[in-house]
Amino acid sequence: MREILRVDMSTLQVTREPLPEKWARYGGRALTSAIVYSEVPAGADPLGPENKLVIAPGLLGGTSAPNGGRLSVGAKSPLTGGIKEANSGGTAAHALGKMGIAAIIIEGAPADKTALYALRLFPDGTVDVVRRHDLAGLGAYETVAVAKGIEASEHRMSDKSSFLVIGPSGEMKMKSAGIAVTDPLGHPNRYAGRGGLGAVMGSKGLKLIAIFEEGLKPKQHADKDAFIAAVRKFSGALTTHAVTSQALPTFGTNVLANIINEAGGYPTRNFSSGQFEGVDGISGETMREITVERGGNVKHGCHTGCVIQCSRYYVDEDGHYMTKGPEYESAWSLGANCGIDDMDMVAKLDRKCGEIGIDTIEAGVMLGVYMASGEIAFGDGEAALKALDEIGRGTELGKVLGDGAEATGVKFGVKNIPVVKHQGLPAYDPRPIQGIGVTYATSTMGADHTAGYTITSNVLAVGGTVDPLKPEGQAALSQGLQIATAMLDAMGLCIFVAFAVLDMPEALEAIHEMAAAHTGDDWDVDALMQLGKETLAYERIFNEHAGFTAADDRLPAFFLEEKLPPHDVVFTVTDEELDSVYSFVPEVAEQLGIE
Amino acid sequence: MTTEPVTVRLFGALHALQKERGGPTLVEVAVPPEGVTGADLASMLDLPHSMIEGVFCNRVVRPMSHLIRPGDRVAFVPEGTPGPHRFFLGLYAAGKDDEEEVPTVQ
Repeated sequence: MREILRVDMSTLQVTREPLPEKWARYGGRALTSAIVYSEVPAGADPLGPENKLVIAPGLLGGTSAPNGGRLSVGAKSPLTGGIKEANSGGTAAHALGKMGIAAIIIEGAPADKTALYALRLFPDGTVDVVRRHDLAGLGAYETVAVAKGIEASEHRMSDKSSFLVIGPSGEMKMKSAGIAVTDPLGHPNRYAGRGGLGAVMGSKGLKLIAIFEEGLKPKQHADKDAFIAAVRKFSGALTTHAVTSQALPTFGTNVLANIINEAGGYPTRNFSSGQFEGVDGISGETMREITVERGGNVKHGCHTGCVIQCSRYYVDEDGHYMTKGPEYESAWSLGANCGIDDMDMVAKLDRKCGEIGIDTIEAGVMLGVYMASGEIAFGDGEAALKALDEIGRGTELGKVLGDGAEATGVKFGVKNIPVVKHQGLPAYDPRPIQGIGVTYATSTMGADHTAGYTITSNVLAVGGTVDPLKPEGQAALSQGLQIATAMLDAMGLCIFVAFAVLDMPEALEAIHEMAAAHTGDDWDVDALMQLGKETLAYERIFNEHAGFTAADDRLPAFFLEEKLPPHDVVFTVTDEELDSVYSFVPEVAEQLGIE
Repeated sequence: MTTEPVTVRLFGALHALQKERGGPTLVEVAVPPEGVTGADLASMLDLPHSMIEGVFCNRVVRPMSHLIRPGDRVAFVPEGTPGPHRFFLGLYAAGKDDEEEVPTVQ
């Protein structure tokens, strides 16, 4: 039986309770969203004691399921004002899964607003909350280094240790603050980045969560032989498909830069053009060449059990670790969106975001808006670094910038602010790629590229034939993508497994076979999609209670009014079509008995 | 008679292949006025068809059977485009264009 670990930061008490039977089939995003829906008042102050930070491994967390070690972190978002699930790699998810923990719920807030704590989970089941004022103001990397030193001195450190930390931006409760999660080598470079969840963690007075799993074994399965067979089937698909076995391991996610640029959908200089003349300098192909030349690592997993291995480390000219190889979205946001074409500068900005603990997408969108205001110039990387320094130091300017793109745009009177539900748009312009625009507009998360990232049978019916420049079929495509993505997030699976699932039907079978063999419950494709629908129903209804209406499911007006070169198109999906994306929610809500 | 060349960009694994060969990843190719198909253009550049899923022609994804004319801007995309963009951009459809039957997942 999986358990919920409840941590009351008002009293510093930790209690355990069995996972309610109604959520027995939930993990990851399904669980964080169901808990936030059920326990957080929709009108709560996101940075107040009524909000709850929920951390959950997927249903397959703690097992040997390939690419099954993703972590969901949920709360009411201080950035969007709605529900949020931010998803991260790292080692923490499997560690929690091995401990039998379905979710950690962190609630309340210390009476002493200056107090700073660490939550520690030990392999014998012991959990404590200790004051850690020595960590105040430290960056994410330094926080982990200091924490490792202290734990090592008390003989608790091993290679089997995971840390979740916030940087100074989280302590200062800035709306772009994320939560860093350590990767398999202990670098805090994986992020539950979006939506300001680092600020929620900071509002709980929590600087660090340490999870020690030395000696813990993977979870037992209801049917071990069937689970192993399904794992082999799934792993076989992932290690033979062209996307998951070749493109991603070789070039990382940034292989997309040239492709999206060629499609004319690579947002450049605050979404004023769809092609960046300097794309070659920040492309995945170039990043690989630089990294190989300098002796950096160009292939490893971001989380335990990853067989795709699309992560890499970016190193300086002397071969020293700087940061993770910037993902496509980070290289875009800190590169093309700021008019910066130098990979080393992008890496410096990425590292700076990692230190102060802010979401690289929101940071890059914010910098693009700041540059559009004329306060600093497009292409000026040094000025961008100084702007990020302002955030880390918590200056008056830094507090504005640290609250993200919208706050910055409002402060400096920028006309075109690319946000939906107050969250910055990621790396695909919705005008020449209309389908992603539907997801940006309607996602429960605010503008989020990962909200619609995979495929379903519905996608196969329409996805192969939609014209990216036209509105027809985009709403149905986005609906299928959003449902299937929510399912993968609930399972704890990396969204990149979807590529193999598309072309290899046995890969989709393997997902429900792993779930069935692990839990002993009945799972099939319909049950997987129902899981995705239920997750979205909780999120959608929470957002309605929080005051969101159809008017919030819209792109900013400039995407409908200003033609984007080189295609010279605007976003043309109708409001009626956007409003159809969540048409399934009332029926699912009725099935769940929620309203 | 002279005609404007086609500019060709190579991405991902095709980019790496061209680098291994010591060739440029942005090339200009002369094509006849009546044009050539994407498949023919790939052959002219000695690009393995098995590595290619789609071809951009003037920033729109087309199947390999698409006719490319002098002056066009072309990019070959290998198999392996991550994200939903294989669908959003039409690469999936392009890659299946010459197949008799589109496989389905139930």
